[in-house]
Amino acid sequence: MTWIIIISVAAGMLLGYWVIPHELVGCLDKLTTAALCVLLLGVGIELGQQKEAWERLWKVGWRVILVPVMVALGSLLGSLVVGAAIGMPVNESLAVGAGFGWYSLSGVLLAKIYSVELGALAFITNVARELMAFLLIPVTARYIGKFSAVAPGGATTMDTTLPLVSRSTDADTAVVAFINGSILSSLVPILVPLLIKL
Amino acid sequence: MELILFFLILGFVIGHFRLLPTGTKITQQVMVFGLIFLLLVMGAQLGANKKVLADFGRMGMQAVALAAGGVIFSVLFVRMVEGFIRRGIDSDEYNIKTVSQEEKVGEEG
Repeated sequence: MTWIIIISVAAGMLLGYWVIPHELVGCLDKLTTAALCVLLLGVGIELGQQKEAWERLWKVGWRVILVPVMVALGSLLGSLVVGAAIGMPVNESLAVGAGFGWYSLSGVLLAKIYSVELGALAFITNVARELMAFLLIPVTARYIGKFSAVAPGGATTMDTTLPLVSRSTDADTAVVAFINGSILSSLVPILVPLLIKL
Repeated sequence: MELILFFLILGFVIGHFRLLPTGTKITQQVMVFGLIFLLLVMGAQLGANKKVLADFGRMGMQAVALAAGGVIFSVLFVRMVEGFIRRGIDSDEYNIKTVSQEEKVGEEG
């Protein structure tokens, strides 16, 4: 899926540069709005079906909810600090940070509701976050802490980085990672549009 | 914004109350096509925008810095509460074991 996403963007860029007339790209507004609505309907259905994460949370204990809360706060504060250092407006840096590694959704959301430039930045930032997660999860698990190893993955710890978290830590932490990814994934489509409106 | 939340909540209700026939993969297929279409259009808009393309290198550096900021702060924040969470899980496990042992004793008695 990762390759399909990256190839889609690259193919779109080549088409936009060489093939599609500039005027036509601007005329796709209604179609992209419809596609975004369909995509969010699907995201909602998947999140609604996910009762497993809540059942597991109930069994493991309420304190575990602190992991996604801290990952969310840390991601937003980190983006805010770096954004301020490079002269980005607060709403833009927070909205990019609120992607929590889910590059496809945060990228298309911001490209559609704000600007294509910020959508591209959100896409590349969150791709970079996922790549960093692959490198840092084993190191963090070994030298900092097992729950801390869940943090770099953000929303991706419920799918793409879950096997790595599981291999680098233990069964308890794998359950925490799944809960963390589920909660952060639910927050992305809510926080990104909210924060960009600040 | 309202439209986004409306469709998200509508989807959540459909998923939560299982209003779609079970075992259908149509949701995922429609989602994948919707996502690919949006990514192609985002790419095309980028490709047609010479200013953004000229700025791509700088954007890449900003992206790496933003991602690093998010990763570093989230690891630090989780590290601060790691011990607290671990104690909670351990005591819950203790409680579960104690309850099951008591039940066994009760059954034997």
